[in-house]
Amino acid sequence: MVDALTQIYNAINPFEPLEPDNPLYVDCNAERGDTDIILGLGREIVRSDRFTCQLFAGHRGAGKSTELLRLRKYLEENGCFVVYFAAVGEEDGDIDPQDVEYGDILLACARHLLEKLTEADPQPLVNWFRDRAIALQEVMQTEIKVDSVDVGIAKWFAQVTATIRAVPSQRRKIRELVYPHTITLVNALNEFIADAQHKLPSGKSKLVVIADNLDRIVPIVDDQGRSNHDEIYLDRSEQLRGLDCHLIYTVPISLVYSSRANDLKDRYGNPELLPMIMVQTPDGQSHAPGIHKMRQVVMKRVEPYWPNASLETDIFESADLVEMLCLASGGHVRELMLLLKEAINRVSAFPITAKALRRAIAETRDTYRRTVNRDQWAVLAKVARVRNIDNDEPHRDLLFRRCILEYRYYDDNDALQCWYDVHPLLKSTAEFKAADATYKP
Amino acid sequence: MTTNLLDWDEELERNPEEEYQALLRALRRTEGFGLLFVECSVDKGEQIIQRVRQDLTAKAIDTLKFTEAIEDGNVYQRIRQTLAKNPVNILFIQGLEHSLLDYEDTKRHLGWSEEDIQPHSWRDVPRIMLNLNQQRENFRDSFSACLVFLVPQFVVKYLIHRAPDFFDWRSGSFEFPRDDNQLDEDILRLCFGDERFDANQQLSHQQRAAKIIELQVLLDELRPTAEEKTVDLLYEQSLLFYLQNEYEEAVTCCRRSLEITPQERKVWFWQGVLLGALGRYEEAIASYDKAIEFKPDDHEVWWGRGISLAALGRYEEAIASYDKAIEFKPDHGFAWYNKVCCFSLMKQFDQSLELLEKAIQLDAKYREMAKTDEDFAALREDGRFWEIVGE
Repeated sequence: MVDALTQIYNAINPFEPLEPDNPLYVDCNAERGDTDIILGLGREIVRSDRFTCQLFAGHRGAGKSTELLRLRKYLEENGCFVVYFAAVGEEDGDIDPQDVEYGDILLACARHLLEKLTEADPQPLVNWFRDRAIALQEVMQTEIKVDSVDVGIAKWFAQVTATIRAVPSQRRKIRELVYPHTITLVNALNEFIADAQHKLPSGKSKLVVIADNLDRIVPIVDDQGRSNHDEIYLDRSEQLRGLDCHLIYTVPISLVYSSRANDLKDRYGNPELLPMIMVQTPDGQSHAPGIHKMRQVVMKRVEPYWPNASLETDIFESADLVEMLCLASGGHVRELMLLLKEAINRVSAFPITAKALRRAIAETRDTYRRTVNRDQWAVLAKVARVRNIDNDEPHRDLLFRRCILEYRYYDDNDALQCWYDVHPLLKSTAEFKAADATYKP
Repeated sequence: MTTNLLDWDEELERNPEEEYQALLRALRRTEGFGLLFVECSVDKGEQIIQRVRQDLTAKAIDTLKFTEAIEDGNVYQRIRQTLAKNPVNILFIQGLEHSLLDYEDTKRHLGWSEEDIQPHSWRDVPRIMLNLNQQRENFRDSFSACLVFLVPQFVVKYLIHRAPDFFDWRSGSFEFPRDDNQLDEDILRLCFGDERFDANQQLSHQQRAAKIIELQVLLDELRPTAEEKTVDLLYEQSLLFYLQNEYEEAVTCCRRSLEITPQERKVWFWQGVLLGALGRYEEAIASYDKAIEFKPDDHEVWWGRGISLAALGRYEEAIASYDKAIEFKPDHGFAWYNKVCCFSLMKQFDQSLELLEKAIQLDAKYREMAKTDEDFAALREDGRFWEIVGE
């Protein structure tokens, strides 16, 4: 017989994005500055006559994939045919997140469109591929046979993306062969898509491609201070936006704060951003509605195994501890789960004691503390004072690593306010205090 | 203020036993896939695995130990093969650091500066980190075991920066710091002088953390021409890092200092001591060699060099190094004593016994040490040993 504690422990699972309609889902949009991607990204697609290309950004582990799965369901219920793929990470992911070029993303799109739109005539893509086949055959050292009408063309695209991803030695050569021809590839894809549009299942009129996990592309900055993110999303935006369908790309939160943020806005419109759940107000007061959402996230995981449990007395020793947990998470759902698991590791039975939670917080804090480079403490001290950030590399880096968190809310005049704070765990470190003490405006 | 709730004055002392119990609970409770990270030295890791095997008989446990760099960086594949052969509930994974040391070495050969190689410059991603981050979903979907990564501190830093998505999925991280005062206090006094050593050792953990930052602010403000001052601040900072048990950071300070002033003999020596404490003996020897270049008759350096050689099992070279120490300081008791250890480990008992007498003459404390020292296990079988040390 497995006890409730073990069941709850395993239910607090940071691995799985929630499927739409999962009872564990808590709608936190109100405390995320009314960010609703169904309203934002979804409605734009459903209403628009033109093809759209939108970006979706957010902190790692904030719930992007969960939200995208909800969006997908909404789109499917509203006349869209959705091709959703996780470009990085799944068993047959297409992209090496360290070394990505825009063409890799394009090839991945081609492959997944071919796989999902089986009714459409792949001839334009077969032709495009056949023109490259002999040269590719030499580089990839496999026999490539593309028949004139090849229903298996998707598998050749898959093989090319797999080789680019997994075999760095061949990566460069393949790119040299293929990427001078991306414009014709986009043209071929669009011919294919045009045919597919006529053959969509009944009730479907729009084609939507969602490329998830692209936010996992690790930012790499070259000697000139140019980042690979800028290269992919800005310099090559023509191609990324060039497909005749609706596109949604996930991007890391740091991209939104590119030094070229204005260029990004020109090309993609305002990126949709999933901020943290606001557990504190900009003046540092605990924010009850946000805390309440975080409590609900915990409760939903507890209830199935311990109905009617009280967070304040059964799960935790006191109400203070519940608040402490929610504040320490900074309004970040995965952080909440992690802290909770760490705390449960430190007790043999419920309720969680003050000592266990402090220990869990100290452990997690130590991890954050060590992610901060010595010269970044001064930056953090500034952000904590001014509650705002600059569009430069140190701030982007700290955002990417969740040392700086973004919050949003609507003020009394219904104007959207964005503000930033240092991760609450970092604020009580000696390093932060030392930097804060020497802060000069 | 909300931060008050997260800020408490009394320091939370880390208790290794509590930490172990927490790890044990996590292992006992995790059903199916899970990721745990344990920060510890190699020896400590072995002890932890041993103990878990005894304490958790209900779970099937296996160990995957890398002793060298994983050439293609495909950690996922190796774990998969191990679990396919032996599907267990808990898999301990050791030795990821080899793939990273190798990586840092490669970059050094390519002419990257020390600053660029350090994990926080992040110009590049080591292959194993890439593999972990990229295969994250595969780990979840293909394994139903709890994976426990036993890693030294600097690997955690790599994980945070270069495999953040993977690290983010952990169910717990546990820290078993090095035993405090691992290095003989005498060595520290030798390197830093009594006054400086005492001043820094008396500080609390929090105070030292703050002082490290203060020194950093000073370092950032110094003009590049102020070499002497920079080197001195780095030296002090490296002591603070050592006292905080952050050995890798301490080594980094030494490296930066030596980049500025390569002729600083004491820094080469101190760096050798640190690298030895980290178990990076070959690098330690190289560092001692540089110190010797600048002062060939420094007995402490020869002695330290001998210890690193002995740790690698290169006993004859170690003995030669101890002999040099004795040449320059004939009453260097530890050099005599460590020499006995080498002969004993080579099973040359006659020499061992003869030298042991000499060492005990120099200082009676070696009598007691010899009775329990691992290195003398074989020698203690010999009746003559007990005649010398006495019952």
